[in-house]
Amino acid sequence: MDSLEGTLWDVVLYGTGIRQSLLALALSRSDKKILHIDSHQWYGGAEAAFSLQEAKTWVEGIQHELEHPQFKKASLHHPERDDSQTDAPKLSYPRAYSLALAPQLIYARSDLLRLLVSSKVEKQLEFVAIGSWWVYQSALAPQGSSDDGTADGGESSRSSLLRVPSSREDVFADTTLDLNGRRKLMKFLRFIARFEDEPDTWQQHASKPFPEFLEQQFGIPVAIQSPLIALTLSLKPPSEITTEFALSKIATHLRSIGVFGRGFGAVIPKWGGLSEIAQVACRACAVGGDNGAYAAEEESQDGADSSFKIKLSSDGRVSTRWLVGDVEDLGLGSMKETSIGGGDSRSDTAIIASRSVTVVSSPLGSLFPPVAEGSPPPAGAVVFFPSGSLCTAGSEEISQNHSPVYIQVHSNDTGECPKGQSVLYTFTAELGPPGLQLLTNAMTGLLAAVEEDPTPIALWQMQYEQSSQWADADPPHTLHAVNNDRIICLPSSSPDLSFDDAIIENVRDAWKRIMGDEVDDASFMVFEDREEMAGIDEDDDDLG
Amino acid sequence: MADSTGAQAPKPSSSVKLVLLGEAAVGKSSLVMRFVNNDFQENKEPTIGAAFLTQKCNLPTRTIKFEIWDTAGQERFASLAPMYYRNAQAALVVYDITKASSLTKAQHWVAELQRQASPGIVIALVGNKFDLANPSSSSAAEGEGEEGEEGEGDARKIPAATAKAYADEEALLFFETSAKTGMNVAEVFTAIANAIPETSLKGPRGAAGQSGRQQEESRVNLTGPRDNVGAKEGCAC
Repeated sequence: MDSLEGTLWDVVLYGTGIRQSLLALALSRSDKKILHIDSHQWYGGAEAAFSLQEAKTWVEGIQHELEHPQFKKASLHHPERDDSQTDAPKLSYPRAYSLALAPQLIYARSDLLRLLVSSKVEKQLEFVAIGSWWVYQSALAPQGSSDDGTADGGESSRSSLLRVPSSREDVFADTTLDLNGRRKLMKFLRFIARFEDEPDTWQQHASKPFPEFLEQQFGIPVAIQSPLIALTLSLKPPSEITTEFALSKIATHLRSIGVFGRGFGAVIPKWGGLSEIAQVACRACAVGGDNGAYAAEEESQDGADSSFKIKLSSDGRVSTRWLVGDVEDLGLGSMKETSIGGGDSRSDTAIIASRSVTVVSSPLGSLFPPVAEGSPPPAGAVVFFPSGSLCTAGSEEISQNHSPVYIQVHSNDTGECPKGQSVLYTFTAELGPPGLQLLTNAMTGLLAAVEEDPTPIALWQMQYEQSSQWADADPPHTLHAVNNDRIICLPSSSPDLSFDDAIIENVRDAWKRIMGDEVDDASFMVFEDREEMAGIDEDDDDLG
Repeated sequence: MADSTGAQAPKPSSSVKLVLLGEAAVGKSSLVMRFVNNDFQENKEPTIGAAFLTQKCNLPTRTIKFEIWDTAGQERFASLAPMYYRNAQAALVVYDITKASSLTKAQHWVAELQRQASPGIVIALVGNKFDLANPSSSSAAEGEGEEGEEGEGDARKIPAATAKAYADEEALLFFETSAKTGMNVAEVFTAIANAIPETSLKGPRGAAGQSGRQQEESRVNLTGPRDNVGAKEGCAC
């Protein structure tokens, strides 16, 4: 057994977030000696999944500034309950929960899924489907008139959820649209199926606001744009979403439908989102535990084998040829913040969002209607609260300008909560108390709109703010000075709603730098079944 | 999906996730290799990266298909990933009867399992390398402080009675095995299979239990046929 200090490691991987873990997986069949360490007691870094007890510890860590400044303003809430009512809904035991810090949905066409299959780790994972997208319509919002594309339904007295059509059949069957609205939407869906081939239609709008494009090129009025905006999963107000970004996101959504079964296009890993993938990837490479932060040593740079030493707080020094970590782990001093919303472009600014995770006392079954015969029943749904659907802090009137809110709703089929309950993950770019108020209003609106009796209540809630570093960050200077080329700094995690395939590119780039000329792109994460697994599939009769 | 295309008369068959724990080099993987392939390699490389092995165990009234999860070297470190313990219905905690520290480590893993794993998990404590305890074995004792009472030329450091007493106290199954000769290996797995309650093999098992049929339905298969299910559906073209 190698001792940590006595070994010259080829690669020290610092952190067990999704990026480092995927890199560990990519390197797992190379002959490199890899030391994979984490300063935390849990796996997954910013993509971890927590029991209630672990979540409490994590929140306290943030409050005491023991965590990276990527997470801020964390708090926990247990709504007051009357314990004399024995039949009142209750939380289950803490380990019955596996709440995701990164409940990102993964589109069926994502490279991530393809690589999990080609690297043979998919067998250790389970995926469940995200079914419907919903748009929240407030009872307080002004109703459309008959010439704006919506059907003439008169005044609605209560808030409701409209299911986003995901096919032409859906559009055809959509009674909330009039004939004119349906026709325009159909035309847009036909266009987006091959928008890359029709640059004349959109390229002059590429960097202009998407709502304008829809109105000018397709005559789709703002009143019926929300279902399309919902599919972009952008936290920005619509006027800041560019046409190019929106088209690519909507096309990804639609093209993913049907890949793994009819009627759905996105999946999530069961048991707590990306955490599960990180764990499986770490397992493929085997993981160590470093208890505490480390500092770079500047003293040593050995010219002969271009290795250098780094200091671990618990285990002394280790020698390595490569060091890989993310922005937060490799240097804390250089965080800069620019407050903007949204996850749209590879801009050089940070993305910040208010987040909450809430355990609710109802399965919220009406949000997960079957999507198609023969398809797995969905375990997740996305609810979009467009600008102009919610009240903001201190007001009882709808605000037209608030940031949009998204809620990902996960049923107990995700393995994140016990039967009879569900988990709401909220996202908005609005920060501070107004952001939290917006999230609260969105949740209240959702729970009222599902029309369940009694109205579901929140049993447990955690709130926090999450920011991400710019993608092309350089390693901080102290490390840079040690070894210019041999330190790879991966971008930090961002509060996206869907998995960003740019992560795969980061990992592949890092892998190629470490492996050098030995490898080509085609062999990235393509592994044979191991000999020891020979018996595994011979008569597997219980795989769906 | 479905219910078997096998020719045999159907006997109820269930999958059981079994996790393998113990100090490095006590012979965890060798035990499994003996069980699965009836094979033994003298100087087996440490395990890296293998997902899990499967092996059927035929009982008179049912068939148990073990999914055996090796630790892949992670046993060196403080904590194992939750996905490893999740839904495990059985655990094999292995120590080396010729190495005193390995029983301490095994006790640590038993405590971890009691803390992290499903409440009903069946745990078997297994002292491996029984072949080295044989006085006629070529390997001589190398430790200074002889704890074993088995006499000269015997590498045993942990008396069977000591481990057995501990196992009884914690309600664990207990065996001494030799992956090298095959002694007691099949017996361990059969005993585990018999100890798993019938009720935990059927239907959904709740949040802490393993996925039953009902939850299985929600599972998305990433490797099934992709293109015959109408990938165009959403394209609306």
